[in-house]
Amino acid sequence: MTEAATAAPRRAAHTVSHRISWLSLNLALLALIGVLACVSLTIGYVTYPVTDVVAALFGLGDDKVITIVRELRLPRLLLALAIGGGLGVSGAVLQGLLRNPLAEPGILGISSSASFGAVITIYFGLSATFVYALPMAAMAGAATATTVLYFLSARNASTLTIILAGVAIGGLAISLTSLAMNLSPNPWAINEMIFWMLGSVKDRSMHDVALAAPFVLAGVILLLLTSRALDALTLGEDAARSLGVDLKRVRALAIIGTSLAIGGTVAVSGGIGFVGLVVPHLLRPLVGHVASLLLLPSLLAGAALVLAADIAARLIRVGVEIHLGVLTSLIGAPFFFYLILRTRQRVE
Amino acid sequence: MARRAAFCLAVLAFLAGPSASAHAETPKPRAASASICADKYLLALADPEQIASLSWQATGPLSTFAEEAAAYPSNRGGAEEFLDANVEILILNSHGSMELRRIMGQFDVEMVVIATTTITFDEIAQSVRDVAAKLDQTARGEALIADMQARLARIDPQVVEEDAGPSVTYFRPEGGGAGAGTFVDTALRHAGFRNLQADLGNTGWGRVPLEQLVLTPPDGLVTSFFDTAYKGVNARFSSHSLFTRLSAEKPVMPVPGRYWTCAGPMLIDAVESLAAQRREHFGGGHD
Repeated sequence: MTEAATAAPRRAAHTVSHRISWLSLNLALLALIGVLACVSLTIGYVTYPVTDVVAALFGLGDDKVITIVRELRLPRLLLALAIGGGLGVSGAVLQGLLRNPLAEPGILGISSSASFGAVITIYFGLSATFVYALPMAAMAGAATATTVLYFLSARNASTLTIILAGVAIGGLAISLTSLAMNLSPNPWAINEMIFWMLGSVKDRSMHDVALAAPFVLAGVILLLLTSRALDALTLGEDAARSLGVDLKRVRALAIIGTSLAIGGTVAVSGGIGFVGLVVPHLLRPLVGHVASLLLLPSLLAGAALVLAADIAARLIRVGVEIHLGVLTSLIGAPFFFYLILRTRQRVE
Repeated sequence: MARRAAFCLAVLAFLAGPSASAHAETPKPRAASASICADKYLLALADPEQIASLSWQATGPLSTFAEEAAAYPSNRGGAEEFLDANVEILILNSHGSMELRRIMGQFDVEMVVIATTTITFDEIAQSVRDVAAKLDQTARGEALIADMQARLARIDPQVVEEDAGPSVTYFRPEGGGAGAGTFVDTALRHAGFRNLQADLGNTGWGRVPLEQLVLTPPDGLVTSFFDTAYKGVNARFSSHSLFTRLSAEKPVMPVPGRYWTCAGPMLIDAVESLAAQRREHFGGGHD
C-alpha cells in the first residue's frame, strides 16, 4: 500500500513533466504520417504529377487516375497504416504486460497461426474459388491460437508460461505450414504460399480495407484499455495485483486485442514482422519509460514505419516488387540482434 | 497428318481472309501479359499493336523470345500499370499472382487465366484457342495449334506410339523430377522416351529416390534449368557421387529451361530438342 502511495505521485509528476513533450512527440509523428501519406499516394507503378493525384483523390480529373489513386493507392495506404498501427501498439502492450523487451505479436504464435490458416486455403485451392476463404481462414488461425492462450491466462498461468506456450503454438503453426508446402503437389502453389507469407499490401482493394479495419480497430481499442494496468505492472505482477489490477482481465484484453489486430492484418497482407518489436523500443526513452505513455506513440510510429517501408518497396523498381514483410524484417532483424546483445550485457 | 494440317491451314486462311477485313474498322482488343508463360501466348497470337506490355521476365534468361519481346514495354505485374495502359485483356497464370487476379476482377479488364496445371497438348491447344478467341485472333490460334500438331506428328511416330523408346529420368538442379501427370512427362513421351519415374508409379513433381535409381537405372538422364539455376543449390544435388557417376555413365540430355517454364506452345520446342537428342544418343529406331 505504501508502494502505491508513492507510485501514484511519482507517476503524476512524470506525466506532468512529459505531457508537453509527449504531446509534441505525437504531433510530430502525426505530421510524419501526413507527409508519408502524401508521398505514398504519389508513388506507384506509373507516375502522375502531384496535382493530378491530389485532384484524383477528390474525384476530379482523368477517370483512369481517379481509379488508380482511389482504388489502388488509397487502400494500400490505409492498410499500411492499419498494419503498422496494430503491430506497434500490440508490441508495446505485450512488452509491458509480459515485462519482456523481446515480446511482440510474433512471439505469441498469433502471426504464424494466422499464416497457417491462410496457407491451408492456398493448399486446397480454396483461395482461388472463394475470395474471402483466405482472410477468413487466417482469422480462424489467429483465433485458435488466441483461444489456447486465453484459457492459459484464465487459469492464471504465469507470463512466462504464456510466452512459452506462444512459442510452442508458433512452432507448431510453422511446422504445419511447412508440411503443407512439403506435400503440395504443385510447385506454383508453393510459390504462392511463400510469396503470400512474405507479406505485402500490393494491389489490395477497399474490400480488403473493409475486411481488416473493423478487426484492427476493435483490437487496438482493447489494447489501449490496458494502459493503466501496464503502469502498475512495471512494479511487478504481485505489486500490480496489490494495486487492484485484475491481471486475468488485462491479459485477456492484451491477447484478444493482439489477435484481432494481427489476425485482421495477416488476413489481407500476409506476415509482416519485427515492427511490433522495434517500434516500442525506439520510443521508450522518449516517453520516460512510462508504459501507458508508450501506447499512442507506438501506434503512430508503427503506422509511419510500415508506410515508409511500403514506399521504399515501391521505390525499388526492378523486377517483382520487394515484399513489405521482407523490408520490415531487414530493418527489424539486426535491431533484434542488437537488443539481445544489450539485454545480455545488462543481465551480466 | 502434316498434309492434313497444311490443308486445314489453307482453309482457315481462306475463311479468315474476308472476316479479317470485315473487322478492320473495329480495333482488336489491347492486351497485356503478367507471366512469362502468358507472354508467349500473347506474342504468338496478337498483332504488335494489340500488345500493351509483356511481363518483366519476357526479356530475361527464361524467355525463348527475348529479342522479340524487347520491342514492347514491360510490366512488373502491378494493377496500376494495366489500368494506366488501358488494357482490355490481361493474360496471367492460374497461380502466382493471387492479389492481381483478385483486384483486376473489380475493373473493366477481362482476364484470361492460363492453368499452370496444364499437362497435355490438347489442354495447351485449348488454352491457345481461349486466348486467341479473346484477342480476336481465332485464325492465328488455329494456325498455331495446327503447326504444333504437325510438328508433333513428325516425331518418329513408330517409336512414340509403341512406347518403345529408352527410359529416362528427369532432373532439375535441386533434385526435383517429374512423374506422371506433369507436362514434362507429356514432353518425354512425345519425344519417344519412357519416363522411368512415371513407370515406377510416381505422380507429380517429386523425385525418384537415388536408391531406386541404383536398382533400376534409367537409359539416360534429362536435365533442365541447370543453365539458369543458382549455383548454390545446383552444386548440392548435382555433385552427389551417385548423380555424377550416373551422369558420367549415361547420356545426359539437357533441355533449355526456357522451353518449359510452363506447359505452353513452346513445349513443342522441348519435345523436338528431346527427340533430336534421343536420335543422337540412341539412334532413330531404338527399341
